[in-house]
Amino acid sequence: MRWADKLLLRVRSLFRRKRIDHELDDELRFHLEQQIEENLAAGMMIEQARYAARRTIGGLAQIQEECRDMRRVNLIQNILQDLHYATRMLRKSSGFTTVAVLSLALGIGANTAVFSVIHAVLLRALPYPDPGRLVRVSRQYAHEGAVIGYLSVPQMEFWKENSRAFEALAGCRGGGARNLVSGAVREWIGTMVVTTDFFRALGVSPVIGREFRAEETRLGGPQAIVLSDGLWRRQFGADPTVLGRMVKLDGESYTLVGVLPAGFWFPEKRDAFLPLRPNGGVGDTGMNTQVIARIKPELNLRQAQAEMAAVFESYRRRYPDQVTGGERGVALVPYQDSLLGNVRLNLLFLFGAVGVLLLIACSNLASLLLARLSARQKEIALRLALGCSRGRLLGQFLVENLLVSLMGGLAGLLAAFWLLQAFVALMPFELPASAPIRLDLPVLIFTLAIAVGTGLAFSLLPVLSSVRLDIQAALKAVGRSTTAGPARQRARSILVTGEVALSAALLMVAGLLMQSLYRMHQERLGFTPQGLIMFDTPFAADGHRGDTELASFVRTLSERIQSLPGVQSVAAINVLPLDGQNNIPVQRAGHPEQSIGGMEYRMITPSYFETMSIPLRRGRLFTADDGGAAPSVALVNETLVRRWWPQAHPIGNRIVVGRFEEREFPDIIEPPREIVGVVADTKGPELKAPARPTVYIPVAQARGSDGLSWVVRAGLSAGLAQQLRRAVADIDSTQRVIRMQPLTEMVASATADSRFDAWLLAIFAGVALALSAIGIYGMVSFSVAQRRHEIGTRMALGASRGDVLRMVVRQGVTLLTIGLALGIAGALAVARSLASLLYGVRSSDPASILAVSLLLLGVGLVASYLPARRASRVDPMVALRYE
Amino acid sequence: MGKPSDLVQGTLDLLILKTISLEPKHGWAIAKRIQQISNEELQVQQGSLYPALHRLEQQGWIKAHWAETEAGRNAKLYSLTRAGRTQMEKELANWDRLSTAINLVVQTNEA
Repeated sequence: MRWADKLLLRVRSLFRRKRIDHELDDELRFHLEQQIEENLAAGMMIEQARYAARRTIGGLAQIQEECRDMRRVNLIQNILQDLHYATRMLRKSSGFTTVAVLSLALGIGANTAVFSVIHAVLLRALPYPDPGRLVRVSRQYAHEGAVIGYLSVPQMEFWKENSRAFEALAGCRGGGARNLVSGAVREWIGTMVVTTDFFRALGVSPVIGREFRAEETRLGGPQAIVLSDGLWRRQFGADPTVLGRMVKLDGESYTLVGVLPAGFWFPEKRDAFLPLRPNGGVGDTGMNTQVIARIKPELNLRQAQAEMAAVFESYRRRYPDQVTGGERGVALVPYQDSLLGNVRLNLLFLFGAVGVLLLIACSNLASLLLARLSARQKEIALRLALGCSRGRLLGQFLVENLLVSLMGGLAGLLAAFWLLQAFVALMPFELPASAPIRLDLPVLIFTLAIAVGTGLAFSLLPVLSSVRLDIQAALKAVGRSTTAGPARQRARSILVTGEVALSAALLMVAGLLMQSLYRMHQERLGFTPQGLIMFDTPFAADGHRGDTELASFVRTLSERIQSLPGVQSVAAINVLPLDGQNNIPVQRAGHPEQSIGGMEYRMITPSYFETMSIPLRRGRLFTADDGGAAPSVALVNETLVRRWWPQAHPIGNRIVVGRFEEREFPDIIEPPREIVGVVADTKGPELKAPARPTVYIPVAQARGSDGLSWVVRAGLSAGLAQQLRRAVADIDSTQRVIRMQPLTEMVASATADSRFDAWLLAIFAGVALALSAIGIYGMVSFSVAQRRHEIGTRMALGASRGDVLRMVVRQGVTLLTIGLALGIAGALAVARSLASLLYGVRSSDPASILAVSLLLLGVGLVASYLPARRASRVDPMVALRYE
Repeated sequence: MGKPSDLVQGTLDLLILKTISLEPKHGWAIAKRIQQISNEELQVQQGSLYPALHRLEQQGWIKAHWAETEAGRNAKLYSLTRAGRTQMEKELANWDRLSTAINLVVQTNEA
């Protein structure tokens, strides 16, 4: 109630200001008259009485002002007035306003955009109940704390049977594209195979139906399928009675047992889930399955981890030969962390970069403000002398600066809106965001907070320095411009130095990334992608091409394409370089110690090496005669030769695909193959990694494949793509053709994330450079203007133009050098943690340091030379008279 | 002669509240009354009196109305509100406590 009364009083005071002022006038006049009367009564003359009364009362206007303050009217009134004044000031100095708002908009916009991504990807919890209890069960290796999140099926089953720490433990892996047929429904769907308890572990249950039963995950058991909400709506019209219906996948019958809720999210988007049915094949014994577990509520991560250490020990005792390659234990990685991997580093790195950008923009702004304050020094001194309180002055500056930063924030929000779309579209790494990345409430709050925060922080420094202003000195300086107060000059110098340091750091990191990118492009691919067109022919499981069928398909299609006009050569391979991996166990015949568990395995047509321009080093290539009936042959790459035959001659030796330390994998074991030649290395799955040991076999001798990639060397012609598609359709009308593109494009996508980082950083660094140039230029020209009188005096006393030029430039260069040194030191400290983003270049790369230093020094020299030249042209007479 | 800044911080409020607790008074009368009762020891400057009055009014402890004085002049009279009376009692108690404490300190013989 009392608050309401007060508010009423205040509002009354605000709106009936005239009346109140009038009353105040009357009240004080009454007082004055009483005083005069008293003085008269004391025997003074009337004039004397009036004069004395006025003296005792003091400044009437000041009392009135204080009374108004007491009524808090002024607070609101002042803010309104300040706002009005601020808008006028900003409109008047539109240059300052534009630069300030734009640089803030840039800084705030970039920060907002990156924060939206970070908020969606790193900060928001995964959409599962109690997501903190979800872990990815991973293998822990001795070296460098490496953790690999894929297990073999027997290992997973051992954990499941023997661990007591989990409420549920389940595995999943990709199930490939399947051809769904149900009545009129026909669609290629993406699938994932999962064990029982998969959805229970995630804490999700189907909206209708159930998840898989144990018998459905056994070989020979009934086949079942769980649909995603999207597929259910799209193809089954959200019909709740679909349960129990039979559908065909690649020709096999599956019973529809469940439908997932609409909000179900899994990092890998899939249309449907199928049971994972271990068959003891290489897919199960290989480390292929991701395992997710939900820790029991009564245990924490550390306790669960301790329990798994014991389970691992019993596993090691039971299967000592299964624990190889430095495997040391089980790591339970919080599920969200496991999804992020390199993305976290990339995002935090980006966030750091935009943060630095904002800092630079802010210090630029602060230094602009300082300059403006100096120009307004006399105005301020005058106001202080006329009785304006320092608090009032401070308030006015805050309002002015907040206005600028809020305008910057608003513009930044607009910028973020566009930037975000560009970021998400261009960001080449998979963003495991469980919710859409957008500008939502937390992001808006973040933007507002940084806008207000920067406004406050960077106003305070100049404002405080001006409030400490010595009125006497400032007023004396009216009409005489001396060198600015040393404190303020120092503040500006620090700001500019900081700005240069930050820009140097950004430039340095950008330079390292650009250089990594360059090195990557210089990296020998081992093949020539130019002039090649590629496409994929994935085989459906029902059209899985077994040995003879595959051989005839490949032969017919090759001949067909070869006969097209303009085609010089054509070849096929199961996996192209830089396009993925396909590795299996291979052993040198008779030498169990020479076994590689994950040898890259490629089936090719004889023309592959010629088409890709991969040179033969020794022996011979495959020919059309190396068919199914001919002796089994293989080619190996130089990396394998260096590994297995460092001294000897490999040709004539024999290798066995599907055997590892004399252990055989029945589903992939092949007859021993004789090595007939050695080919040059090409890049393996990754551009950044060296070539991997690789064995090539003729596709005509392969046991089958679930798809092939084709490369065609041909002159460019408009209809080529069409002709290629027709050629495939002519041979098999059901065969899909996907990813038809120049091979160079596929290669480019292999460097996409590095390119993204490098270019983004380069843009940031460019902006930072421009901002620092403006900062240096502003600082030097401002100090030149301030020292005009001094410079005039020096010249009058005989200093030459060169002397003046040197003196002014030296000031700029000193700051520049200090900033540069600090920035490079900072960059060196930071770059070490970015090592995984760099390639082929050390973080302390001297060339980058030199380039950044030269660039910044050059820009800084120009930025300080221009005002210095102006200073040196000062006519001493004019400068001395200029007051 | 004590200047207003010599008044113990916050005591001016108490003096004003106490002075008008019996009957409404205008600013001039308040200043005079304080001066008289304190045997001319305390002199309230107008520069602090009127802001204080307006602050007290703003806080809701005193209220003002315009009325004619005995001399037939229009003056702004201040009187205590109920909240103001409570506040005054609180401050009086405070003052008692404080002055007793100060007396204790300054009158103790440290021999």
